[in-house]
Amino acid sequence: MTPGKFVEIDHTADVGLDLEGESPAEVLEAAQRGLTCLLMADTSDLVSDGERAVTVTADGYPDLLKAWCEELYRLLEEESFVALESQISSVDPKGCVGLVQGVSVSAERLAAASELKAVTYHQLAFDRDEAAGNELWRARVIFDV
Amino acid sequence: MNEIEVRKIEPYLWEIPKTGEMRVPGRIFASDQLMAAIRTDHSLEQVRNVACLPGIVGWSLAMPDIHWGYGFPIGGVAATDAQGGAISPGGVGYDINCGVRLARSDLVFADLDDTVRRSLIDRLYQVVPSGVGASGAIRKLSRADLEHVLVNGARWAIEQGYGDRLDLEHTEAGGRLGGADPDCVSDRAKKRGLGQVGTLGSGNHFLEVQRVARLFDTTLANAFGLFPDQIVVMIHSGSRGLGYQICDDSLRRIRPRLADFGYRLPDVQLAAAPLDSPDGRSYLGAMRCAANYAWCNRQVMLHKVREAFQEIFGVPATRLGMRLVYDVCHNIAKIEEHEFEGRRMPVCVHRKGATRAFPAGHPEVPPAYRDVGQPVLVPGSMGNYSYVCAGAAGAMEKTFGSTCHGAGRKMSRTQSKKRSRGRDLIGEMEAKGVVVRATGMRTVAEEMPHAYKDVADVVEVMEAAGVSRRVAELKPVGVVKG
Repeated sequence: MTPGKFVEIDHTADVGLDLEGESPAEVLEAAQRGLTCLLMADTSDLVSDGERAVTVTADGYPDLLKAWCEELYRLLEEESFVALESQISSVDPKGCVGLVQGVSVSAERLAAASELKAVTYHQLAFDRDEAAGNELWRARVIFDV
Repeated sequence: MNEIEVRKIEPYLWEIPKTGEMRVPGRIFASDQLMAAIRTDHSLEQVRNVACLPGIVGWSLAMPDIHWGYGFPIGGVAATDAQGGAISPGGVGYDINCGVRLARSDLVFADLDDTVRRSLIDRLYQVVPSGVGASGAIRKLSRADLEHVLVNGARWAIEQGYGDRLDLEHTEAGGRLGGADPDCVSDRAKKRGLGQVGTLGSGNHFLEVQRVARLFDTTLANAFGLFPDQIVVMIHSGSRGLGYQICDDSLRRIRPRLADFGYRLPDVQLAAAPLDSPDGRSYLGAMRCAANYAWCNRQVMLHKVREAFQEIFGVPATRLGMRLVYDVCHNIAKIEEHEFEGRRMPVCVHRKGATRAFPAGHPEVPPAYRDVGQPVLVPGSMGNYSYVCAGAAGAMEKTFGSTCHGAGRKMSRTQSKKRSRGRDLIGEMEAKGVVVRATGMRTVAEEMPHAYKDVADVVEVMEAAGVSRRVAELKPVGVVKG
């Protein structure tokens, strides 16, 4: 299966991601990759040496996307854990369960990351793409940085 | 991109007529040139959306540094009726009481030869932690200490020896908003706040050592303790993770309740609650805690700055004349008395990327500045210049006592990074005479001067509109960035 995709959005003050995938799980996994790309200048030298089980509850898919991104950022801010890969094992509008592989980085490396003030509700969207015959899921999320 | 009708009604003032769900017209302060830039993003649409806020009084206002935000435009001002109107967490933003502090000194540029300047910036970079996860400027607060910070703001820092009483006099609201209620702050927000007092953060936050490059008004400059070629220090930061969390918690709680309040809003990020509802009061109580935390944060950073100067110059900071000129916030909602259409009324002034600019004679201006007006601090882009201005009478008539807060972005972070690719950014800044110390080059690439409007154009508009007056232009000689 082709993995989901992310594209960085041009937003004047902040940053955001446009996401697509063949399933909600693919979109969330793409969000993880996109978020890590936004937060870390370069991850090419990082190799996963640990994993975190993540369970997120939500009230609908857009809220789920926000909560998932918030949890990934919490791992970075509180545990210095950079998410490098993820697999969503179950997902519905009420939440998701996933496994995140990554690595804990030094305080110096952490400090050089981009700080996320918030995962905003602004233009937050996560739904089937009816124009694509419901075979694609698309999402958008804007981060306050 | 933007097809919203906007017409010029004065040389530097534009209006979006009231249509549809708008309760008031929109008004934008801008030159022709700035308006051309403003039209290229979604900020005018956001001005229109803010005009739909329940209880909004007068106009949905935008300063010339307006740019696309989330919910409110950055550079937006909205006053809502304190009796029956709404309060919007999105109208304050995530970085509650993000603000600017300026300290003066008796030093002049010639006192900072290249070696001293580099040593000073290195030391400032060491003592004021910056970037993600930054902590340790002072010991981690206990829960009890944090409660004191949330209620007492910068006063807590002074009581701990991080500054003196004069600092409080020269801080907006004395560095403390009354009515802060720590019970309205979530455990998660408190946890994020425990270790971050005295830290700068990341993004557009900075600490700059600057030189007074030009005076526009010597009388006002004298009143503010400024003179040509003087060394000053500017700090731009806010309430850190605690404030971000409070905003997010409030939006999460209020957003599903809009229908209960009878509110129909064009953007969920504008989510609001009646000021006199439990949700409105809870947000206000928590927001004031974050505001107090931010003032404490900037006060502790100033203390660390004074210590660094003391170490480098070998004399006490007091002998270096390192006094606080002023500390002013630009992301806040405050209950203030204003006159509108001949009636004095209490309003909740949301300033989202806008600075309070009270004129001479206003009782909330500190006694030292009451004859000249409140200092207004307007940082520009890294490597260019910043401005000290003063509030003028027009602010009370036209903007609910508010003015601009910075240069305003004109280029996205993505574009700025692309334009910076392959360049020696630190070397370019050095060539401009600016020493840069940063935790990450990405932030430097995003914050290069090419990403911002010219702050000179912004402050000129507000002066021409009679809202604030230019006092001094400050050029950076050293920058610490997260």
